[in-house]
Amino acid sequence: MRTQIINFLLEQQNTDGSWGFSPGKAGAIEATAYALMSLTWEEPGRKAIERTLEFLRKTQTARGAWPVTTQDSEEAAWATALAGLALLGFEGTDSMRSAAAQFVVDSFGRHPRPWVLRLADWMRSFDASYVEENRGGWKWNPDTANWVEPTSYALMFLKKFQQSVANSPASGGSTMKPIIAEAELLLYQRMCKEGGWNYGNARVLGEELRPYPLTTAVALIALQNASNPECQKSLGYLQRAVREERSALALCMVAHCFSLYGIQAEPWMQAATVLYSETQFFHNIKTSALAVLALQSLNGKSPFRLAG
Amino acid sequence: MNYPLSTHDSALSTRSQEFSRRCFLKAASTLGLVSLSSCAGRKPTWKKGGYRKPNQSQVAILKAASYDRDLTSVILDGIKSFHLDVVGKRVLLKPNLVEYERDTVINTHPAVIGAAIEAFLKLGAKEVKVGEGPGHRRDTDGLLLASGLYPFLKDTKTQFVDLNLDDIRRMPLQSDFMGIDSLYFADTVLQSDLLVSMPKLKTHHWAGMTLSMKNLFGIVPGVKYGWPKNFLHWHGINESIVDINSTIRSHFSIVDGIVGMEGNGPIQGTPKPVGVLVFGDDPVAVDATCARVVGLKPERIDYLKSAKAFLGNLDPAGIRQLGERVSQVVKPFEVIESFRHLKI
Repeated sequence: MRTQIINFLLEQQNTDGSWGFSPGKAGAIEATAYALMSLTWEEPGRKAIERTLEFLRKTQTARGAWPVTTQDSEEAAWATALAGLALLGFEGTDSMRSAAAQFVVDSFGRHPRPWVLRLADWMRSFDASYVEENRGGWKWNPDTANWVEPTSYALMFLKKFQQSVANSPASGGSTMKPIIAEAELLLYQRMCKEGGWNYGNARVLGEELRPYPLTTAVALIALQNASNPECQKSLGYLQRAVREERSALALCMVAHCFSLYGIQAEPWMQAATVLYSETQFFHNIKTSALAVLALQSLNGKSPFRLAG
Repeated sequence: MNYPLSTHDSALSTRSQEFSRRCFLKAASTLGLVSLSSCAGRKPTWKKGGYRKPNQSQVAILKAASYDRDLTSVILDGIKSFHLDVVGKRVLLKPNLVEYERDTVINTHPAVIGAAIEAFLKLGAKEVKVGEGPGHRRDTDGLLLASGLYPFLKDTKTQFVDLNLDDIRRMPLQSDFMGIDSLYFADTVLQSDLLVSMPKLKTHHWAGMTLSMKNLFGIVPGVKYGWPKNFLHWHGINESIVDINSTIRSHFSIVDGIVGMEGNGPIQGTPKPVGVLVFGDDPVAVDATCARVVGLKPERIDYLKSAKAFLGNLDPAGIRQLGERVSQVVKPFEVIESFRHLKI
């Protein structure tokens, strides 16, 4: 499967060096970032990687960001975080990823609240039992609420970036630390009752909502804290839920997550392989790239893995 | 831990019935609460000629007792009663595919989608595609398999397009209920000749009902607006429904009302057999008729109240009823407390 997928990815690269989400589609930063990460350790990918790095160089905005696709011009923090994460694997991209990190840091925020509700928050803050609900994180679009996936992508990138520049005097690590801490609190706050995460609503109208394996794996990869009880609870949920999972995309992300947490992941990649023979992952570039990444993670290689 | 204000709810919640969150934020932050009255009074406009409300709409209600029967014949009968020009057309079926949970009826049933594929092909469509951009789930591949839709697609060699991950194109909006001038849409939708909205007959805890008009949230791409498409919620669900439908017209609707969902829809509600498929060429008339079928007053559903002014017919006088009469098939739905006022 791995060779077939790598060939598929190489064949489907757009002439500008990007990948769309499926063959023939316009370049999307998310698909491009995952494809780039997946080819990092693959010998046949060298030339494709060069073209992708050139594409990312050309399309990065003056503020260090990328829009979600080549058909859009609005800068997107979540897509920028994924591009930045992918660039961490390549030398000579320092200025690009530093600019990307700065943009992601600048995009961190709480969701907009009218002054009356902010006043209510402030008044409640005198109550020792009060927990501030409106925590900072990242959004899909500016001026909306914070959600699990964009927050997780930003965390993955900033944590890895922080580690990559730890010995540099101009690392910006001190400004990132509190942001990372608050964003992690946001994720824990959005966790579902049984553990795990969905897109970011633990309950609606008083009803508990159920978590999803895919977003749970994404959040756990972002947190990477095996000693945290809430991560453990979520891993427990994930180990139960993955048994019924039919999505190759989710299976690959879950397998990668399990690898990072030292949990046996092979059975879930076998399940993904069965789905590949049935559907070829519906020719989805992101799923294909994540499958390669998950297979690499079984051998200890992962662009998501945090040092220590 | 104690969470006195539910961010989770408020993050997703829509503007109130009277004014938008955006207006509230603007007013509260700049002019104070006194200005709220002016926001409440803002009169949305729509481009004259951008959409022509039909003088007379048609809606057909056909009985279909279960998903096991020959649904292709029912759907063929339904489409034929509209003299819909299908020959040589590129048809895009847009079902409601939200998420999968065993023993629930969240999604348009795959048998209905499969029958519609077959029917449109039989009527001479050049191609039929199925497209959906789920609002919460990114693992659409799993949804196709778990929901049972994949075998129908495979059997008929029908392409499925994840509209969340499609090419995108920015389109000027034909009305300004949201207070913005444009939105991105999935390109496959814009390239189709015949867009068929195929919702499930369900209650909706923010909008009252989710039918053929709300179903078009799925043509707004997630790659641009996220999972959930919080941008739309932030600008008001009802307002977004109207602006999307004023800009992208679904040419035909087929509502899966064989088993609907009552109570706390669109995900956590209760299955309710109704035994009908509802067809129509005017989404406002279709949604209004469906509301009547489940014992709700369409005149009190906010997005329909707005839409009737320029998008389509809500009053029975403007709707030519084919097939069964509403009174013959009515099955009153339970609704959550905040929508009790909708009940007939």
